[in-house]
Amino acid sequence: MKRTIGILTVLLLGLSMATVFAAGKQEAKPAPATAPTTVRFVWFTDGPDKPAIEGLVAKFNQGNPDIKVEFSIVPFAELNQLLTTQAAAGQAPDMARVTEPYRFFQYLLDIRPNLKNANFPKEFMDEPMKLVTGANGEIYGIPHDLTMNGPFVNVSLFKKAGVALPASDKVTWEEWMKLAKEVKEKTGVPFAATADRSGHRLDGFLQSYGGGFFTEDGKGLRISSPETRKGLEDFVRYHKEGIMPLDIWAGGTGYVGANQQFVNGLLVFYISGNWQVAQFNETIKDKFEWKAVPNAFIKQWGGMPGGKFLVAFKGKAPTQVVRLMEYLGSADSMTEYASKAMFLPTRKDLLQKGVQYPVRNEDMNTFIKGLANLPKSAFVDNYHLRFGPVANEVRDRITQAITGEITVDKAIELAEAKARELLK
Amino acid sequence: MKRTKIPLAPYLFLLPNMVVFSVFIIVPAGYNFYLSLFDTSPFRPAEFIGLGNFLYLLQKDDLFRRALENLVIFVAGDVGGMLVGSVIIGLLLNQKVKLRGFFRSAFFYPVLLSPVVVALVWQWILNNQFGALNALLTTLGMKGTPWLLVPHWSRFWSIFVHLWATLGFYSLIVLAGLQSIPAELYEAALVDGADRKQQFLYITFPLLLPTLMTVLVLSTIRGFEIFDHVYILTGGGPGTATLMMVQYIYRAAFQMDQFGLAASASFLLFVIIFLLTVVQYALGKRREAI
Repeated sequence: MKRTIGILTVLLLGLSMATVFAAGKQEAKPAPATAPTTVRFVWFTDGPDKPAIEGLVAKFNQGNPDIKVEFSIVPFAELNQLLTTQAAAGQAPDMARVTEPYRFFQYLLDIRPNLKNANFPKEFMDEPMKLVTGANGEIYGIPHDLTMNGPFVNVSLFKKAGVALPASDKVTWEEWMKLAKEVKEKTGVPFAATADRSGHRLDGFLQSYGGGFFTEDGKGLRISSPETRKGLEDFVRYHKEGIMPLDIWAGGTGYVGANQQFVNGLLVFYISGNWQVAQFNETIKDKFEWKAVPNAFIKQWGGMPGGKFLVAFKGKAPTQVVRLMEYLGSADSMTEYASKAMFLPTRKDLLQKGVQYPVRNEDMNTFIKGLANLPKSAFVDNYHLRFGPVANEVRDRITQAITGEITVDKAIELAEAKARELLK
Repeated sequence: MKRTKIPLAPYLFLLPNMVVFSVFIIVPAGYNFYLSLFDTSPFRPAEFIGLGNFLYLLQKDDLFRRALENLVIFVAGDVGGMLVGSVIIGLLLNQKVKLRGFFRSAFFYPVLLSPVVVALVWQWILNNQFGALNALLTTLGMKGTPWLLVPHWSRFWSIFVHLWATLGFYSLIVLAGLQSIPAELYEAALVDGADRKQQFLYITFPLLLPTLMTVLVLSTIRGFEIFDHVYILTGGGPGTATLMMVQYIYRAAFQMDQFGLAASASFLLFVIIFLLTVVQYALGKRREAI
């Protein structure tokens, strides 16, 4: 009897496991030839780009009935670890919008063999293209939109305080901080000035001092140079003096934005970037007057370029993925996207021709002008393959200096030591 | 001599669970240890460095030491609070009062909430500029405090919020332990003239010890694994005042691209938790033997 029960148990277990495996195998069968090929496209949004890209994806789906683009949005803060985990498990999407393509190089598809137009990669700006180019010339994607760091001012608060905005374009950070502090005291708003908690924003701040993270050849470091040191000391000092609040930079690790404080009219001077323009236009509306102003000028213009990239992952539909990429990177698509999303285009032809923005044209042109004024060192830093982790390290060490855990000198020493390790 | 037959059926029933356990726990843990022996980078093949990562963490990495120090402080406060708090709440919930069922549920509700929701709500309550707590203090004529921007307050609130969110669970364990103590012991004690304090010291506490050992082990393990509540509430700040070990590992892997280093930190955390669990288990066994 016991023996019979044992045998029946084994048979039952075996049957249930076989059913599970068979079902799994059935699910893995390829779709019939007539069904469209699915292309999974993962995106993170800054806000105004969402309707623009959704519109383009819908148009592509309509014009290409043999392809079905499954479009999904993930939070920016989770993007890198989500894609890394998925790619490592062989479950990466077919295409994704990323800021640090180098993280995924081992999983990415070289698009060259599947390009209809072999010249396609050359149609984009040279510096950003380097970030999607492999060691042996592989092309893993395209720069899709360019960004430019820069400050915004709450003009209404300046008027309310009776403080005039600077007449000249060439204003130092010290002058801006003094003005912001005066406006804050006269109007009673809680925040004078701040920057997003980001190594990228910090580097843009430092550029105006002639500082930065990497040497021009990209092989060395400039974190402890006198110019960078001066910039970092000032940045910490502004926090210690209460001009910049601890609320943004004293948080632990990770990106913290200050756009809510600006949108709510509580912040006089905000160092962020052009991607905020469309969002501010939608959310601030007529609540108060605001505008983009040029970056500070001390030894040179401050600011940092940035960008988002479309990268293709190795998968089952390389031809279809590249078709989508060529469509999204075409002059027509990019013109539509840049003007709707209020971003800067990355195609050489469009940058030369210019893009007409439906709203806030003056603000967008402030950023485009800033881009033209950027020193070469800003491009070297931003497009350095190790910029991400080095910027994170500098950001976190400076946070420690701001909260008084360590001195600025110690922060610089530790950040540079880590950066040296990362460059090996 | 009659040979004893080893029954196969129990092992076959355990087999699916062991397969899942191996695939999702044993294999990743093994691969984690393997990865910890390499210096990794997205731009070059991984380089075998043996115990290099471990030596770096223990000798050179100030952030690792900081995370470990913060974690020990957190666990000490959290576990201490959990033991005392769960006993107090367990005793209160064991009283015969009206709406006892409601109170038992009310203390358990926070356990059901997502850690992200809990941390976000408390972040709003403790906000420097707009938080409910500072608003209340200002209304009462007192000065508000930047609760999450001052290191010692930030540490206090990290522990408090975690206690608030999880105390209900451990209180129920203690309540179950209290309810398993025979009522006759208390009756006999009353007859002998023992007051409430003596009843607690000589009946309740000794008989509750095995339950408290369970609370101690579980809360210690959970304490060392802390991430979500603290990461959302303070981000590890201000500065690195509340940087915990799991957040250190997360940062090393996903913000610094140092997967080998993250794997070695993860392995060290596993060793710490394992050793603590073994010690607690041995102490528990010794107590039972006595």
